[in-house]
Amino acid sequence: MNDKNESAQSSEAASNGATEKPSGKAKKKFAPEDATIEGKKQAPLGIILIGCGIVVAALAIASLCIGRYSVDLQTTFAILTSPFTNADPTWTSNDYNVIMNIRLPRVCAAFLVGASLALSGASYQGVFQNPLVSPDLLGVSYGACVGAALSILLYMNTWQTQLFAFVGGLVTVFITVSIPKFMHRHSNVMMVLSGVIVGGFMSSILGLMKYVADPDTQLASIVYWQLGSIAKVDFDVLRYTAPVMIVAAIVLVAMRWRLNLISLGEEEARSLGVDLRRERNVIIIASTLLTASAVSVAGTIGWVGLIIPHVTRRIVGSDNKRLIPTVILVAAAFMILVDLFARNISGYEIPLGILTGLVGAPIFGYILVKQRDVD
Amino acid sequence: MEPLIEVKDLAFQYSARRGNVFQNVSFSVEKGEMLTLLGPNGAGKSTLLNCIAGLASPTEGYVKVNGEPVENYSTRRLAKHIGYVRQHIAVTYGYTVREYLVMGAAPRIGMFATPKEEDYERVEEAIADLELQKLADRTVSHLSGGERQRVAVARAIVQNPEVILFDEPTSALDFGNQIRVMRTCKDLVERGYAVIMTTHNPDQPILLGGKVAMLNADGTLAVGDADTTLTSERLSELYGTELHLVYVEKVDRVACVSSKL
Repeated sequence: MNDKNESAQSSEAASNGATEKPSGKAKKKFAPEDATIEGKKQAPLGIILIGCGIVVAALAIASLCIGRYSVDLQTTFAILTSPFTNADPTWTSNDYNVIMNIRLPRVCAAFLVGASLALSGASYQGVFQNPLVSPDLLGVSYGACVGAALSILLYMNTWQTQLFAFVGGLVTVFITVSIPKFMHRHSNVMMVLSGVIVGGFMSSILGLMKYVADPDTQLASIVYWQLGSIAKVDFDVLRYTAPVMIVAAIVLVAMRWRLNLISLGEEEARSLGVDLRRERNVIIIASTLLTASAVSVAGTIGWVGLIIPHVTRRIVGSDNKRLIPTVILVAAAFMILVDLFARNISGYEIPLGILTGLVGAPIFGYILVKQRDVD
Repeated sequence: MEPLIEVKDLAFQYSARRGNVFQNVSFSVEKGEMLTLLGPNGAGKSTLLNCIAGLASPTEGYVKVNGEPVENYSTRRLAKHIGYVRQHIAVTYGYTVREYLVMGAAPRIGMFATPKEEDYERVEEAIADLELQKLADRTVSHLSGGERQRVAVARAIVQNPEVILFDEPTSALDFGNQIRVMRTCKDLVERGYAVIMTTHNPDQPILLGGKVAMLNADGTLAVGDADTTLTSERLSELYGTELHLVYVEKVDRVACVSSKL
């Protein structure tokens, strides 16, 4: 099942890749979906989204069926549709419990967390005109982590954790963005260095919190959660976070084309009539809410926010009008797949943050090499 | 009838310690008029354009657009009147020329909306107008300096403002591309756009015709029609070196030349 899905994904990527443009003649009437980039025809966005949606659905179903306790496909469907039909149960209560109370929240969490991180990553990259930034590199993830760890130390509940994570994330992004401004140096590298400084500082604070945490209860939960996992997610957690994520995502999807304008730089955007301060703030707040919500659900899961936008740009191009919707589905597929592996490749469950790092770092290296070829 | 752009006694400084970048600058531009801002390096020409475009706030004087102070305009409303073509066009991401051009429609598109079919139609018209068909599907970051200039002009046409500002559009271009950019400016004026262009090359206002404002560190040295305002004496004063306007019979125009080195 896995292999099939992966090959479906890669063949889709290939078919989006290269068909030669038939002729150089100017078209009288231009439809945006006829876009070509450097002579390569682009697949219409609708088809790409439907393709990605099918992959996500297939992976989600695979993820529900496969595990140490496996449930066959037919039973899975029967259980999933049972709230809407009054069919007599043909399944055991164990089957039902595994699908509805353990795996379904996990799949939903993987979808939401993956989509949130990649969507915020793509938005940060646009708004800061910097393809190297991501929730991790801006320090937002660490800041949110510090906020959330603090709430664990103070024995707070889910929505308070989320609030603390958001405040932590927002404070960090503010500091990270302020350092280059304060130094009057606005290069991409300076922004990344600033993120490294703030991230380093935040990780020290996190270390301090771990040091003072109660080793029997709090320490384990901070560490476990810092490594990134959705093993303990249930619908109660999602009830608080999912609405926030969905609202923030709707805002960013609605403003996707504005990201193109803002990514041209301050003066260009303003002379095209962009109310830069307001629009940039809305995007930064929505992105930070997404990151903080993802962190409060799943802890820190690195690389997704950096890699997925880059991979998706290779499929649909740089136009955020196409990129933003696609990034959501590609990230969701990636995260569900990673979670499937995390549960099944060994007897123990591997924290997601470890797997995304193992996969993400080489992919980023590959992208940098390809980028050099293009340049 | 108010002029389209009115600049009066304008001065700008970044800080009191560094003094004025420019001062005492006054001129006006009517609809469909060509104005060249001519001055040596460091006369503050680019900053002056930024003041007109509402991107910098002058320390003295005012800029009015259609009789209304520029600071009263929202960025969106101002962008419907003023377009801006910059000296260097740097694009971080791999937008295609079409994707870049449709951004010119931004002043007419809401914060939560995307371009509509008529915006893409305008893009196709601009591509046809400036004969950019061969470039339309290429990414802007892969274009040469001259090609980028033409694409930026096309974006200004999509934006469809009343006046287009050009900040030293020819300074980084070879001779052929310089001529082509100036021809484009002249075309824009013929289509009814007002154009304000900065340059440090005295031949350009001669070629372009229209009005010229000669700027030096003390302010506006002279403003008026290019053929009467530009004189050998004024140009020599402006650039601090001996310059002559001579008639060249072969091309039937005046040219600015320096004396022997």
